[in-house]
Amino acid sequence: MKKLFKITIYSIVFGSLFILNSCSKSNENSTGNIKIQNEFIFAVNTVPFALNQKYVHPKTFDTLTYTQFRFYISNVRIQKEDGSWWNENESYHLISAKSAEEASFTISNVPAGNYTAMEYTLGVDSARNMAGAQGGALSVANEMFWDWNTGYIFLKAEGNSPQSSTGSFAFHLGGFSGTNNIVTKKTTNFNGAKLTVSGSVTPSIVFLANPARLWHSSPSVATRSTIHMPGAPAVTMANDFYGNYSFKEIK
Amino acid sequence: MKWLFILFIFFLSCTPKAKEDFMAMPKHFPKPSYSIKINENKFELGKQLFFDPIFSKDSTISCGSCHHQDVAFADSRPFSLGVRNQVGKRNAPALQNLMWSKSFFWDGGVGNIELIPLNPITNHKELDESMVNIVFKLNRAQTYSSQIKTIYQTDTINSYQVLELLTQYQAALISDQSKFDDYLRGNSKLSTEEMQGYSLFQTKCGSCHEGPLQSNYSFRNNGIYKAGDTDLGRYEISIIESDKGKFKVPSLRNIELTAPYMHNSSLTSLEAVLNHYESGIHKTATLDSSLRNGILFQTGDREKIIAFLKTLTDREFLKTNRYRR
Ligand code: HEC
Ligand code: HEC
Repeated sequence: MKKLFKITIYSIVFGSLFILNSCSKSNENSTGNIKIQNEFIFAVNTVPFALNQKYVHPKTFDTLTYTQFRFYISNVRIQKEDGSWWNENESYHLISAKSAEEASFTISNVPAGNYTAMEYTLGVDSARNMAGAQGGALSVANEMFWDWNTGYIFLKAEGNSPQSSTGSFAFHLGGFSGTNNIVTKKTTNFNGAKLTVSGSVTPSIVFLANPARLWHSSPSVATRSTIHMPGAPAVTMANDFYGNYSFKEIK
Repeated sequence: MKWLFILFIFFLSCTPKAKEDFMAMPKHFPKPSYSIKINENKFELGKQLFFDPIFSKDSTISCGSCHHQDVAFADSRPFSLGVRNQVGKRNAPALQNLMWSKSFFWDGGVGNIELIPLNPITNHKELDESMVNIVFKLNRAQTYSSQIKTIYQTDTINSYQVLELLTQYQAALISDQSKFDDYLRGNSKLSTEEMQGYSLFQTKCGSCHEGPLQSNYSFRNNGIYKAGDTDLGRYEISIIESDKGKFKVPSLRNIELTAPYMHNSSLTSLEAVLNHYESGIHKTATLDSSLRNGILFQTGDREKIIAFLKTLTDREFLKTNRYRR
């Protein structure tokens, strides 16, 4: 009996190893990776943006030094030439302006082929806002979560400004229900370009993010230097930033 | 061949040794909002974390410093003391039957049971810590390394697991052994006075304090909130004008022991609570329409209602060693 059991276990282990092995081989040809990159600019395309640098805002004339700029991109899907969609699993990514590395992420196991569009969400869907403790990009250890008012902070912009009465600013934007909802679904057709996925090269989709847009229609930090909960001021800021966030190129 | 054998051993060692689901679900309760299976090992470690002051910035207080088992994990102080003896603005409620609750805290600000601990952890007047630092301190101290190894097969713990463990302990705080429970189970009778109190309670209080847990978990203004109050309750979460002064309807289990009452600890006895409902209602725009004229009691009604409320006391819950560190 014991022996039979052992033999069964052995064959299961061998069998599954064999299957796993053969899978990974065929995968090499039929899937590839895509890199999603974010380029940060300040107000105009010619001014690159980085943390810990002084900028003067063209509308509010505030002098702003950002110490942190992070936001979520989630639920990425891409559309094949034939119209079918491929969805990334567990698609939650935290972007940070801190470094080029933290401003990008890689999607793997994408079926090879030509793609003509991408859909993505800025923010975190309401289901995940209401779900319990989570790992990965959604881990509470990232401190992108409100503890007293359940929900993710979709975008965190913090820094210093002499125009603020406290000398600093902190904008924590989020909200997933009713009129406070800022979960924003967007699509791009790559401006007509084609995205080719294959096992041999990893194409990059580049997006432009412009942290100056937070103040496109919001008042100077002299008037309001913090947002710490969902509500109308967060909706205005998020709409301005999310609306402007856009596809740049495929590299 | 040897490694195959090791793999085999590994499979064997994965088989769970701890009792899964060792808490029985009370059959006379409604359907819970969460179906959390309590694992004995996780519950035990969760309990140790609940009482470990490593959760506070200066290692002085723990969850258990404000939530005391002998009063159903509420606090007899009107406002609990946090780190550096700071005083908060609301009364610590009883922690019981949380799996049946639809939201947490007086304003319902936290929507999921697993995320409860983040609020007291980061609150500057409570534990004043960060999850990241707690995880760091726990891993550095290594106090629980053998338990962590048994449960998660890893040497270190992460924030997700800390939340899971605390959830296991909190979810297991089930109070279902009161005299009222025995009555609902059909095992014993209430006295005539208690029975009369029960039916008065159902007609006069049951529109909010509904069902076997005495709550429908809605947000209501029961006339405690008054003009000029800075604690706006549900409004602080929803920013909807009509939510000003509304608070979550609390369960009344173990109510005999959880004084002072209401979010602001403004009432110190059950008699005072009934006086409030009869003639102490503060009239503000959002006051519940059913309370505009107060609740009228005939002679003897109050005593009967209080006699009923005392049947909700669950001595077993208050003293069982299972919840003790
Ligand atoms: C400094 C005292 C203090 C500490 C420490 C503390 N709490 Fe609390 N707790 C409170 C107060 C006060 C409230 C009510 C606050 C509110 O509703 O805004 C509360 C509310 C709660 C609730 C909500 C219950 C309900 O039915 O809505 C839970 C659950 C809870 N605490 C669990 C914990 C856990 C877990 C810890 C440890 C991580 C903890 N508490 C640490 C004081 C404390
Ligand atoms: C319109 C809804 C409503 C009705 C009717 C109502 N209550 Fe309440 N009750 C509440 C709310 C809401 C709270 C919490 C209010 C607060 O803290 O500001 C509460 C709090 C309490 C508390 C304090 C609980 C605690 O843990 O501090 C007691 C006791 C209580 N009610 C008893 C009663 C009794 C007895 C009746 C009937 C005579 C009654 N209530 C009728 C909504 C109601």
